[in-house]
Amino acid sequence: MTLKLLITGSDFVAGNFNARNRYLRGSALGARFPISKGPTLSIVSYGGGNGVFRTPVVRYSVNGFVMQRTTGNDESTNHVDAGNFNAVVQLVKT
Amino acid sequence: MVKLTGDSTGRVAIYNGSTDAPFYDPKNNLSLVKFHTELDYPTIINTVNTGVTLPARAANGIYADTYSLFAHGRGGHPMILAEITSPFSTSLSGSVPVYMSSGGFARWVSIGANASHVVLHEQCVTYRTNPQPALGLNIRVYITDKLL
Repeated sequence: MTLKLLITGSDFVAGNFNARNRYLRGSALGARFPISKGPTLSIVSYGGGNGVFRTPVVRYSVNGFVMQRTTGNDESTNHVDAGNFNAVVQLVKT
Repeated sequence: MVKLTGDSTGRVAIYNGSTDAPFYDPKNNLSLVKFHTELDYPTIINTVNTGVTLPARAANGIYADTYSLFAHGRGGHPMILAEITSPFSTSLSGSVPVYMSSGGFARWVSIGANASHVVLHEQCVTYRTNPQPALGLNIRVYITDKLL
């Protein structure tokens, strides 16, 4: 293969890479799609002791989208603290 | 110092550093590489807006289902990315809860693909007295040029 390199004000072509293609790329500027670097879910528990069952509490949180369990096992209105977990993400452009 | 280097094999690289190690061995010097032709950059080759309606689920049950969204037209299992665009906005990164009742009984979905179609997997568990309503999801799928 011969060297293939083109750089202009609007193009960058090197080998099979052509900047006009739509590559995934990490960037803070204009990035909107999060790819998780680790867990997206946190499970903690509360209660327990003296014959009382411990109850799991789930919190899913990715880039501002949160779903969490905040009430007891019987769907009572007792508030449960699901913690403040947020997944670590890499924002990318598509 | 940033360097732009190419050679007669067709390799081109842009990298930092005082040596040419990132040029000759990019995968072991990734922190210094800004671009290298020997790295395989995923390319989005198609974007498809699609949707699915998850059915209502009766109380006191556990459910699992798979929904075929569309034919991807690739010769294998493509690497894909996807996001839910409505009724809320979030990426389909792993299994994602799209409904959760106050007791934590939830409906989870994940995106995937088989040899012919992009599919959505659903897993759902309902509380003994509470059904879950039908739920419509609009989904945007990004298909890359990579086959898994």
